[in-house]
Amino acid sequence: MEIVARASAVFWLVFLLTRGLKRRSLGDMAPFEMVLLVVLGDIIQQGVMQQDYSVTGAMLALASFGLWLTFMTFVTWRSGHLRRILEGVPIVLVDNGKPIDRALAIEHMPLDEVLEAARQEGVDDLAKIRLAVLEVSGRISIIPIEQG
Amino acid sequence: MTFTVVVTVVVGVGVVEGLTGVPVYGVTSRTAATSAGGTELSVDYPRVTRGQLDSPLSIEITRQDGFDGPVAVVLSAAYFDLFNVDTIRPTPASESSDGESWTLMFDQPDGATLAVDLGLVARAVGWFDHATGSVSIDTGDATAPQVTFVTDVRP
Repeated sequence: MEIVARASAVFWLVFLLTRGLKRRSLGDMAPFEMVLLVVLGDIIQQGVMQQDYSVTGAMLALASFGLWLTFMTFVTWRSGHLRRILEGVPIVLVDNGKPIDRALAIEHMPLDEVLEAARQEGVDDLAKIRLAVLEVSGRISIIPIEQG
Repeated sequence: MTFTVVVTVVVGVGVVEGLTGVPVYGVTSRTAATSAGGTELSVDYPRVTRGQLDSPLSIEITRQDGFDGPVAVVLSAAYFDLFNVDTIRPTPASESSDGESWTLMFDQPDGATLAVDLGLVARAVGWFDHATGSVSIDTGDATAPQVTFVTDVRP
């Protein structure tokens, strides 16, 4: 039971960490954020397994994580309200060529990154962006103003 | 669906074990006790454990009238094929083994109780295994108490 409890606690800690990180961190990591990603596995392993190297312990830990993931998938499928709480909502960063400064400030998103995402979609000017949306995954979706 | 059922069962059994003490994954302890010839013998042993985990074994011997000399505790040697013995407290005055049994001799205890703690660590096992153990007191008397127990070791 201790492994189940520790695995559950660590699952929610990691979830809160990734949920609390700015989406910019998830979509495009800075070097210091990459460090966190690298050491996160070690921290989790020590916190969950401690000195337990048994196959049974590993099975319990993995099953606990799997159960919570299955639960989260089910809950976010069944409840739009909970999905918005647990996953967040897409945020509009640019609307008809005009940057939404408040949204950019909240997400600590420099406009340069929006322009970078636009260039990757073949859009070379802010004025040509109908919508730039920061998705829950951290990616920026660019919808250009239709020509013609 | 199958995945959900499997992980639910695996975790659910672990939760039940934690709440009720039903030995499944370990480490779960049990107590075996007996008395004979004025001597009470109680052994706390690991009923289920996992490889490379601490699995303490505690022996308590009580004589109402106290002890009139050194105490010889006899353990089945085969039981320790699945364990590494890290510590023995208190330190025995002497040890001996004939291959089948392992005898620990302790100085005459003060008071009516001798408590012996063995710090065992289960060895890593590739599959499910178990060990049968016994603890007795060598008093040269046929009525000396003895307990027998079984420990399951999970991989």
